[in-house]
Amino acid sequence: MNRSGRRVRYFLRDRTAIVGIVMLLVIATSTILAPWILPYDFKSSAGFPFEPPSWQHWLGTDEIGRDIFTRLVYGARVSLAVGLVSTTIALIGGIPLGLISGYFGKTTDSVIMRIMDMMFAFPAIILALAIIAVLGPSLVNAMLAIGFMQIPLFARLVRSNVLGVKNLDFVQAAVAQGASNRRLLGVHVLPNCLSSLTVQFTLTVATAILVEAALSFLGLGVAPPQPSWGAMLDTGRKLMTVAPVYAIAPGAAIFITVLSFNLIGDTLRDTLDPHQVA
Amino acid sequence: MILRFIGQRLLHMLLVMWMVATLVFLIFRILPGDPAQMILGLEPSRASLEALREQMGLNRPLYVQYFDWLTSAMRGDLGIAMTQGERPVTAMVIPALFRTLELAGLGIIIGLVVAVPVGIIAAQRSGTWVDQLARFSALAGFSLPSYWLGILLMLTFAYAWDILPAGGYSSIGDGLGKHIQYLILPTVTVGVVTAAILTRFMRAGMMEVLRLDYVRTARAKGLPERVVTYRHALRNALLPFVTVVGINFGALVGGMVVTEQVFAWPGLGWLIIQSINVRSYAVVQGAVLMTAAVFVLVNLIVDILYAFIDPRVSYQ
Repeated sequence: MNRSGRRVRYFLRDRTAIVGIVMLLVIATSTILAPWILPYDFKSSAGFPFEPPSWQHWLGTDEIGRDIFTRLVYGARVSLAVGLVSTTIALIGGIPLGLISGYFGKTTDSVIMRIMDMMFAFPAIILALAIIAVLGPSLVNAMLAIGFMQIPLFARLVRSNVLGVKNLDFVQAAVAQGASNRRLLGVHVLPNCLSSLTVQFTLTVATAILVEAALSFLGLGVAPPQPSWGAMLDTGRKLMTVAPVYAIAPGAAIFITVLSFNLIGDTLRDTLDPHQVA
Repeated sequence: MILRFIGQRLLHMLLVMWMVATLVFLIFRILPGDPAQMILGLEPSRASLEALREQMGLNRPLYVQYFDWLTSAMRGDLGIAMTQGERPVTAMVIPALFRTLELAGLGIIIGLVVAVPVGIIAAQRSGTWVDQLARFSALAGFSLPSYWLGILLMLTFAYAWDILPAGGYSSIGDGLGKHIQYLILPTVTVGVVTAAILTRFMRAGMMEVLRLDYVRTARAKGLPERVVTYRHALRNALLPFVTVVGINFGALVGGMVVTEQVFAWPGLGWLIIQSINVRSYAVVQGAVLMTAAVFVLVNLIVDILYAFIDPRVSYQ
């Protein structure tokens, strides 16, 4: 209690983390409340095409007259959803693999870790691209592909944590008392991984958002008219001589969101993991 | 001893390559989705579908297809690009690979030139505003969608100032100057993001070493700080850094997909996207395999390099 209180205070002392939290809160609440607080709709036109930024349209209008700012606010939904869901998929896949691999060792360990090595041999986005190329582009497929490719990250992290605690006295004591494997892993080993998992989760959400935006940018993400920052950036890029703001704003939104997650993750690491300096 | 070590690493690499080729095969053949149908579009006639499946060898049992794919890939034959003029895939993938490597190599060099000094200075003054600034810039660079940076550079240098081409490629054969003009914007884009990632690792590695006892001893015996930093600390901090650079080089080759797309740079990533768009399965498959091969090969080189520069690594 006292220790966690100290940690919270330490965490909050770092102003960069607060900046990250505040930015995320603003993004999340505005996208949730969007239908009630914004005057326009994301799928129907609200003016003429390519209106320049004005008081009515803060960032102007797009190629069919839809309000760009409105679409930007709605676009956060896809980014946040894909970021959180795909990272959760990776977490759910990675934790058991890491636990089994680290705890049972031997052949089980080598087999699982070789498979993870194999997945690691693909640069992140390439594996996602290959999967999307076969399954076809959609929101769910993007989540699955991005989540799948991040599994090795969590498996390795949990495994190294398990190796670190498995021979410590308190685990051995539980073994001596005849605790079942399930109890050992769930009650004694897994809780020791929580802090590094929290850090990794935050940082992985940041990566996942970047990859989703990249996929949408390449036309392999969410289908229109659902706005997604990556797809908007792609359209904006093609129209950059006509409406430069259109090419700048969606990228800024991706950047700010990813930066927020990274700021929080970075500070969390400093707080929860005193051994690591990074 | 060292030869045996290299031999073992080579064997390990072959094993990983085999598994990678298997995974590529699995993704393209086991996941729902039919390459022949992809090529023919939504509602092909049964006859034409069957004919194409026959022609592409998709009617054979899975294990036959698997061994065929493995043995041809080993001979350097990655198949024929059905929807891109029936050219051999290898002939499309290899030149693209070199264009990607050129960009990635230059990006890594820019990254190193920025990251090493900035990382050292930040670690030396850890906690000061200099360090905070370096840390924040690195984090910002790390969060930057590289393609957005590319778009911003393009808006500035190609459209607003009109001093560089907006994208495309010109081979060295058509003049070095022109080649470099097309190279600048994509290289800077790749370099900035790489610099950010490498700075984080350089700073962390340096801080780790600067805390060690032998550094304190060096200071205690009165050596100037410059000597302590560069002669004593830097050498040891660079060891793990070599691995990081290697891994990042591999990741860069793959991560270039989007940057190449923005600048219409005809590398591997660009080829993959083009081929997905025209449903050219064999090319996507070959290019993905090639990307992974580079990644594995770079890791092998780093492993061997590491054993050479760090006498503590035993060749086991």
